[in-house]
Amino acid sequence: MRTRFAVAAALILLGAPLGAHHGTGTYDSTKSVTLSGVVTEFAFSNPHAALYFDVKDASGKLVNWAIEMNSPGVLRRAGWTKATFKAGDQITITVRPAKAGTPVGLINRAQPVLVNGKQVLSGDRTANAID
Amino acid sequence: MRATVAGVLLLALCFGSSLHAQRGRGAAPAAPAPSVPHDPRDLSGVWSRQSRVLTMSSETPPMTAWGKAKFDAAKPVYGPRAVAGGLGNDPVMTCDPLGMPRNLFLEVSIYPMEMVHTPKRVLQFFEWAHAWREIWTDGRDLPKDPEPRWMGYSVGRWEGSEFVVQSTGFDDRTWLDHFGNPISDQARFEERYRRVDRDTLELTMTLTDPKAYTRPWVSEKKVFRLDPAHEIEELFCVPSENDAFNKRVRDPGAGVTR
Repeated sequence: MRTRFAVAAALILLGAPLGAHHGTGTYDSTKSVTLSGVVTEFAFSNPHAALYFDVKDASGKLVNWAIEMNSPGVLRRAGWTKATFKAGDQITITVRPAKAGTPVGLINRAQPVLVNGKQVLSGDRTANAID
Repeated sequence: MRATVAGVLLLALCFGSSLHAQRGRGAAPAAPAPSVPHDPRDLSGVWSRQSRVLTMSSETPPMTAWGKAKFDAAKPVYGPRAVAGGLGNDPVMTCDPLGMPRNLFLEVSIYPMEMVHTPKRVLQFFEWAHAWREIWTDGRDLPKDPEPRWMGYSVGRWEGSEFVVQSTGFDDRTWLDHFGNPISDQARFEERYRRVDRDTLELTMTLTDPKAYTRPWVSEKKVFRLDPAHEIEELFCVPSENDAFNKRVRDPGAGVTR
């Protein structure tokens, strides 16, 4: 899990719309990857929430991704609750992947989030999670 | 640099108002009607940030040898010197207090803050870490030889319609900002708040810290907007939850195995 992770063919590289911006030291803000998988845990924790979910890689092996999010307070203001994701949900979410190549990402708020086929969070291109 | 600074924090995931209805959340209070009379000497209310620079300004003054040594020892996880989260030594990553003025910079750039007037104090509540500070307005002087405190010591007075806050007694274990700039226990910090209309609060700051910088650092103007629809959320930095986050997100995100 902690070894370098080859992004599966199923993932869609969305290009680098944020070329003028700079990310944190952890995430590559020039990349955006859309992932689909099954939620294993949504930690509505402080100071950062985190979403964990299983994604099949190119070989069919399940890889557990960890997605960094804002604090629950910030998320609550946007209408999130600890029940926004629950274990077993099929989700599609877009992230800025870790530069280390590990299965870790920062949510990319410019893209919508699907839960069980339904869009529950619309994309907002005016303000990215890192911008 | 401005873009760099703007990009450094993992900012608000405000996904639009439609979600409120989908999640059954109660309607937010209506925004105030514009242009009603206000008392320029009343700063009460929740103020949301309009600025994005997480420090005084993008022009850092030259540092002293002491300041440079502190700066070089800092491994920030944001900004132009950023290392991956699991490799940094930012005090925020272990939930240490941000202290002043760094707590204020976060409210300037990401979170809202609330100000409350009482007869002898103005209280400032920060969302990050659920922290607060008191600004004494009872005419007292600053302590002459203060014990360092995370939030320092602050006194305020009105100069016309400007609320002028002087602070001292900071704890040099804090970083000045997210970028690892230093602040010493010799620092003097001045804030000038001006409510230019009912909905707009401006803030300029001056950091005078001869132990860390060779000249005073005057901030750019920071702007807040009155935001009665927002309430300060409970954003503690919870050590146990933060430890789990470090182990499960920050460390693997940095390729670190402990």
